[in-house]
Amino acid sequence: MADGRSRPESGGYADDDGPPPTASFQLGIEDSQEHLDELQFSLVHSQDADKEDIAEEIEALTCRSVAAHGPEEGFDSLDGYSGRGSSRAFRPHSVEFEDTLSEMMTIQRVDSQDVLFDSRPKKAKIIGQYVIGDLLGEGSYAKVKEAMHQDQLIRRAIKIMKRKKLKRIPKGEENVEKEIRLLGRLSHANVMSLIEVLYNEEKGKIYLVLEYCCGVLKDMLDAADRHRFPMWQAHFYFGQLLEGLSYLYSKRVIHKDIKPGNLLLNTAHVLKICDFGVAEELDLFAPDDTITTSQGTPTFQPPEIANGADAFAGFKIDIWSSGVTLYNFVTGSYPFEGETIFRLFENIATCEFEVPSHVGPVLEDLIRGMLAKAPEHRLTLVQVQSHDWVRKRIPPNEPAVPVKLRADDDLGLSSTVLPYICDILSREEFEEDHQGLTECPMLVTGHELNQESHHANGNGAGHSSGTRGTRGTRGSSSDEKTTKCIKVRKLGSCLLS
Amino acid sequence: MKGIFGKSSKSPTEIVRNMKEDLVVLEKGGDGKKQEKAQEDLSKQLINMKTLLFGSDSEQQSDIILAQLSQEMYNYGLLILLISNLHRIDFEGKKDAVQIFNNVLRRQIGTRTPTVEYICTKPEILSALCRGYEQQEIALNCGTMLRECVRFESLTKILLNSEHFYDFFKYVEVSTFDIASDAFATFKELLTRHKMVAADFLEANFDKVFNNYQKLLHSDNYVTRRQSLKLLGELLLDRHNFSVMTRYISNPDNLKLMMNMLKEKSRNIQFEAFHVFKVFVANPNKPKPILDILLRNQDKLVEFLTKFHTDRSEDDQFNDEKAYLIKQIKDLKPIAE
Repeated sequence: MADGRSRPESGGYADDDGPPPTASFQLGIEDSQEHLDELQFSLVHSQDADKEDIAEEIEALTCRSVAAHGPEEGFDSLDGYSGRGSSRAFRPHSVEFEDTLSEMMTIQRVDSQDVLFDSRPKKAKIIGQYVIGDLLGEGSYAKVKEAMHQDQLIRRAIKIMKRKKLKRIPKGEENVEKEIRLLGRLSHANVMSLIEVLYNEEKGKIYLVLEYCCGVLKDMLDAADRHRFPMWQAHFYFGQLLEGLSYLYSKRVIHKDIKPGNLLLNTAHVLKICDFGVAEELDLFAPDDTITTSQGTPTFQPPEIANGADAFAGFKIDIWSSGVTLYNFVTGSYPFEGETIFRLFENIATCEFEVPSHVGPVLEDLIRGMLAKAPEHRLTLVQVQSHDWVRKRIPPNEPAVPVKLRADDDLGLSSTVLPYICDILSREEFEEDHQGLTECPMLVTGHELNQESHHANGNGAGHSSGTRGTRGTRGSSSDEKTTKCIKVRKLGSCLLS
Repeated sequence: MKGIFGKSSKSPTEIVRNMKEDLVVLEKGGDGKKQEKAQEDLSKQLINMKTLLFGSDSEQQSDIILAQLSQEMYNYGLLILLISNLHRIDFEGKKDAVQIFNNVLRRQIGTRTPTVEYICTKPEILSALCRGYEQQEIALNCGTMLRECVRFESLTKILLNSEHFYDFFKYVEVSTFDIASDAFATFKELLTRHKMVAADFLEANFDKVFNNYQKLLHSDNYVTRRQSLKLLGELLLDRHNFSVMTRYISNPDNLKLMMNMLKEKSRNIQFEAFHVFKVFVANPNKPKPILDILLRNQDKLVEFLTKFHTDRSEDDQFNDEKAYLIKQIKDLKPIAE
């Protein structure tokens, strides 16, 4: 029992290898040892422990891990154990209670019934009508978390931004406001739709509720063999990108930051163009698409911008960056690279690049057409759409690069929101003010955990099939207790036994 | 190849030939028994053909068979026969026919779509499909096939430039609601699916199209009025139709119409009209007749807009636009002589 591991709570599209620690919603694993592995725990020696101190300690631990997100928290599970589980649980005692140190170091036999686990209930957070789940991804100024609408039960992605952070980025707030305004007007299958915007003025936070997507093309490419898509898959996504761009054009919107990192997929493999932070909307009566600013990603910028032109044709920028994107889809590399941004822009400005031979002449012609140095020689969107490579049918003769899913989620269908919902349901009294209710950490013994999952099974509640089996339930049966009875107060005897 | 009932099915040529024979019998009419037999056989053949098209075991073989099947369909002129006799086929058979048509239409070899090319040379197929809206029992089937055709630019071009396009102004107002909505869906697809083609068409046939369109906006049917007004707004605000928009908003009659629609009883129509009306006001180069109308109604418009849909407080975009319009109208000044 003693080799249970703790796992950091951080999650995300890219860096989450371990399943989030959930007490009763892990799917399909029958082994109870595995069950315990996923729990943050602290081993408590009943005689030495100052009860209050321990409770405090665990609370601090819980708060810390809930607050901590992102790649810097990405310990692998072993590190997580030795670096956090043990040190956080033991060190304070060894420092504060030096006299008991020797006693603590001696190995004592601890009955597994006395091992106290912190089941780390997911603290449910509710914003507007949405129950918030785990982190999906993180950008320079925003976090994206999974969320679920309380009544509609629709999965959403919620982009959380802090005004304080935005202020530090040039044009940060302005860009967000622009994005909100733009997205509000757009509605197309291939454009990420904005469901609603919520504000928390006290915390200075802005929440964009967006369509839920399960994958980013860039992540798929990164994980793919030779970092590229099979021809047919590239064709499939590129066609959708063109549909989206064509719609944007009809709405006079220039995206200005087309790249695989801004192209998402939903569970039905529909491509969604997202991130309109640097996009620009032309005036209804603008005679042409001349614009004067661009803040896109350097690798995807056209020569006219690399050369520092004052004004340029807007839609041709999107054509160029879509060309670079297409090049990246089929070759796994970029047409222009450079160690520094100056080198990169120098290379872009000369506009000389190689197209690998496996690409074939038809596609090479399209890529060269889209990456023509002079904007006026560059293909228009309509020309791209009527290009032979776009029009032709490519049979899927190679296996697809799969959407990268979280490790515990085979179909992209399981939701990280479930444990949080579990938290809400397990509370004795649920009030709107969830802040106050989540203050006391839940301490559970392995014994009680088994009972808990047993009850979850018994109660059904729609998730019973996914709930872990109950093995090794020891002690007297207590079927009359429901899951929500588990709380600290009950475990006092456990601590002191 | 095995058919769905386990017995070996006929070759594509045989199926097509049998179908053609059955259809000819049906078309001729007369002898009841013979008709019945043909009906029955036709349903069977349609199922056989569907099996060939949709449910085959190996890719390689089906590709060859598909090529053969569609080639025979062109040779026997089966598509036009099928469509012009669609009303004589039983209910399930109609659905099978639609599926077969759509599948054959989508067939692609490299960049070529042979059936689309074939239909381009036989525009009577498209005419027959359009006329399908006049026959209640096949209207929706024909609508489904038409919208499949509209996916292809070349067919859209033919449809837009045929006289049949103007029949749609009639079809969208028929009394049967589902047919009218289906026709409107096709009408909208025609004008929005291939933006460049549609923009060229609207520009070239501006007067004719918008004279007809005006009738939709004046329709007695609330649904027609609302749908067509919404589509108009969408068309005018689409960047592809820039020159169509500038032309539309320089005609004072259009402005008057929109101002009247702003005062309609239905709030939804008022709201849609607002989105067209705003374009007239936002235009930086308002022609004199437009400016005159706006100036004449300056005070009234400001007062009207200030009270216009004040309960939409959550719709920021609408409120911004409204505030902008009010300011624009307040600032209007006659052109110095």
